[in-house]
Amino acid sequence: MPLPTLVCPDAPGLIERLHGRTLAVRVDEPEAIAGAARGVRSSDNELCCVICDALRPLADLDLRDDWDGVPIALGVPEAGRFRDLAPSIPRLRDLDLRVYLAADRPDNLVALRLLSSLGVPCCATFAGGAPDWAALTDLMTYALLASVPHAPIDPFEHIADHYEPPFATEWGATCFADPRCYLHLDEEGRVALARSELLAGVVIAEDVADIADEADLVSHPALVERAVRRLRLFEQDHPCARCPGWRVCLGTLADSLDTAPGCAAFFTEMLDVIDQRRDQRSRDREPVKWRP
Amino acid sequence: MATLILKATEACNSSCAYCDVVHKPRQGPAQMSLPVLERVFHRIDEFLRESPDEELEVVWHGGEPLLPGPAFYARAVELQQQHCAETSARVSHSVQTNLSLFSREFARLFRQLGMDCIGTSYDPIAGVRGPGDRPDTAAYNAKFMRGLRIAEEEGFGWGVIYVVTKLALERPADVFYFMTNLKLDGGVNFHPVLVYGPEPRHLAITPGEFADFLGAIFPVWWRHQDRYPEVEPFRSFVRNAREGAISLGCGDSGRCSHSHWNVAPDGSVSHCGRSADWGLLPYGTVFDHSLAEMRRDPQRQALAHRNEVLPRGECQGCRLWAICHGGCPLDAWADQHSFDHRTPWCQAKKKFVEEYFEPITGLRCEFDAEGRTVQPA
Repeated sequence: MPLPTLVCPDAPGLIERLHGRTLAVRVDEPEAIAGAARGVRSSDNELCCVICDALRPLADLDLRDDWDGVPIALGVPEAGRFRDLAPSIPRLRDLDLRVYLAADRPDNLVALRLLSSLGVPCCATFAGGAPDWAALTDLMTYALLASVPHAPIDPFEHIADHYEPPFATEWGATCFADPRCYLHLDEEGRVALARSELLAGVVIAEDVADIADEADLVSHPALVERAVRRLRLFEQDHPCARCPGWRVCLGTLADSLDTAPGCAAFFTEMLDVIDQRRDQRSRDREPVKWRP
Repeated sequence: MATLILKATEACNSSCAYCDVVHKPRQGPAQMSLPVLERVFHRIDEFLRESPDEELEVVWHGGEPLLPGPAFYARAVELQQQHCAETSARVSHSVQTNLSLFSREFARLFRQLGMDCIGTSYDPIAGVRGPGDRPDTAAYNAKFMRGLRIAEEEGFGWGVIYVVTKLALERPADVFYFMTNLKLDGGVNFHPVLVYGPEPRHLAITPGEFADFLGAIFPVWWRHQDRYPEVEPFRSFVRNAREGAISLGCGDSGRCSHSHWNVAPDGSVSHCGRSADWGLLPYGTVFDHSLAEMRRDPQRQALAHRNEVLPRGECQGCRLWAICHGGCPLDAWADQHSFDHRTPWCQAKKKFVEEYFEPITGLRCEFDAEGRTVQPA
């Protein structure tokens, strides 16, 4: 396992202290994206991407020229009015950009489908409340089975690409929430396994230098505790433990199950859709069309 | 392969509601002494030297076989090195444990015995497994999961038996998903609970109920075999139907008559765990007889004889004979006090095959005398 990418604030002092690491830099304002990318690239670290959780709708953002060549994870609360967004679509397509939208807003599910259909990679996030599971199922089915050209919608695309039965698939990495792939740093360089834990002050190391190699991380009690937490669902006979969709969920929504009563049916359906997609791809043939 | 079931102890730190081993009237010691253990390894070496083409599997069993502690197994490692220096390559070891006491020290010792896989059992339903008269399921589950985590971290594979009780009949899908989620890559084996006495009747199931339990989960398994591999008895039924009779397990093999020894903690030898529990088929002790001598014990003929009697009697014309052989002889004895009968559990197999397996798969479970599949013309 390679050392995880470090998700850190755009803090020059911190970035200068890091050497030879891959960084995902978090900025508060879209206007800071290009500068943050330059800052990393001028250090002896490698840029993974710039993460920006913008507070404005996508349609209202200025897709700046200096974003060219910068990998961007752009979180927005909503897409905004399509008539305002439409002129920006070619530019969005040209950029190395992925749009993140919370799945708990029905209009966002529509926007994700729209963006995907227009060639803009995007990702549904699950940090908020319960989504409309039926609508989300439609979106997932479109993402994985629609034969019309469209950009990937994560985490569905990620899960479908990585799922190897009978084993389970982790997909937290699609939103920087898998500590085996991403660790989170604050300005002082303290390390947390998740952004939520960093914000809550739950850190696993006072300095990233304390996690010098893979062994330090793999054996770290906090990471072990995460595995234990998963086993605890079995220990408690939690509904997630007996969910048919476990292989592509792994209890990700266990803590919010009371607000997500439709998740089992959704993830179960996803497994079947993935099977269907594989079957579809393995046949790999053009449909025979009617000809005069 | 010759199989030596080694009961390191008949004590257990759990009192699973359906298990009678801890209530069994015991005359000898609960735990095997080191002199008995040493004698066992001496006998193993002696047997393998006399039988250069044979291999032998030692199945550490109980009670809970980890109760004697790591020191006991450290001694087993030494004794094997000491007594089986030239034959140990033909000895393999396996263990059936509830994992609640498993530790990194056990992992190290089991690796020294050549083990890379552990057999266990589990039930998520409260009140079935655990210590105490009213099983403390929560405490038991926590210890099991801790042991399981250590086993996985130490790189051990594992397989798990699920014992189907009355309580599971209400939620077959839950149980199936739970067990296959816990063991993603398979190695899950569904067994019916075997209740012999008047208690605990609230857990007992009929053969028909077991067939219906299997039938409730079989369509899911059949449709998604890549998702849920190695679930038994489904995998074996499919292999049997497709490739010819391979049987369904030791109890149904019809070949156990000369392949098994069970060594109790006091060194007395019987045929298997259940025959020992019931005082049947006593072959002597490891101090009095060699394994080869006990393998020639005339009492074993009663088991071999069953294979001659049943096809001409109760099993005559049964198309499942080649994979079932009338079921486990000990089940027959429990029901009829004679080995020369088929077991009540034959009905479970037949019902499952006829009502679920064949209609769902389109495969036919029919075998000729040599065990080859016979498909309809």
